[in-house]
Amino acid sequence: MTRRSIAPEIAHLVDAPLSEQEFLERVRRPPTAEEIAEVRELVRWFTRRYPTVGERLGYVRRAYARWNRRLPVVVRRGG
Amino acid sequence: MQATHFDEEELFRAIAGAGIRALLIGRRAMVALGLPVLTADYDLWVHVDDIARLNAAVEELGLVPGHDPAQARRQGRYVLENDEHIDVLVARAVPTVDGIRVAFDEVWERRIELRYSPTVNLAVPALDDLILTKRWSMRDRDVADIRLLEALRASQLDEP
Repeated sequence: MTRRSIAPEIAHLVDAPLSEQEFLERVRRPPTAEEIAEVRELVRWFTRRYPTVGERLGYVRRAYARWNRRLPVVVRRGG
Repeated sequence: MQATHFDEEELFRAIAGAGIRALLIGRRAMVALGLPVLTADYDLWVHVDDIARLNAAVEELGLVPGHDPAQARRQGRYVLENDEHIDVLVARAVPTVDGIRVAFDEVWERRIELRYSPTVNLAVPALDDLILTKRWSMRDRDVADIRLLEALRASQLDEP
């Protein structure tokens, strides 16, 4: 798989540093019962469908490749 | 750069076979633990004394280090690259944004060994330690990852 980075023009949207106060406020907030239930179901589905670590990582490699192919050329060219 | 056929299983086989103290961290560790999240790169945290052995072990896979071991030690990190990109952290310890010291030796002691395939294992940090590594920077996506990991930890605590 060829590595492509997020274009510098939009990198700030995903890599924007938060203030320390905002970061800590958000990560110290405990997960809600709904979040916990959603993650439990997500993990259950993923680990049943892809029982080994190799299968899970393989799924993500394929998914990333598909996602990357759909990006406009100008975005893929970044980095 | 020549395109190569990167074999992920061979990467982890080479690491385990050479007895290298290496932890898969970052989003790929989350995937290994069962969370389907997207990522481009590999992130490894390797014992500072194992840099040269790691470089030798992955040489056959076409992975080329961006720096020699001495320079990597000074910088605390380096990159292994072909058409894949592996960020290799080699710092002995890294503080979280709120000052918690996350030390490789301690994280290694608490590591989780996972079966990559019937013949290959890999190591990831324990869930609590992986969450701490996500507190090294203050990016929005780290918050999202921490919330997923916290929910995973809570769901495991709820399991009968």
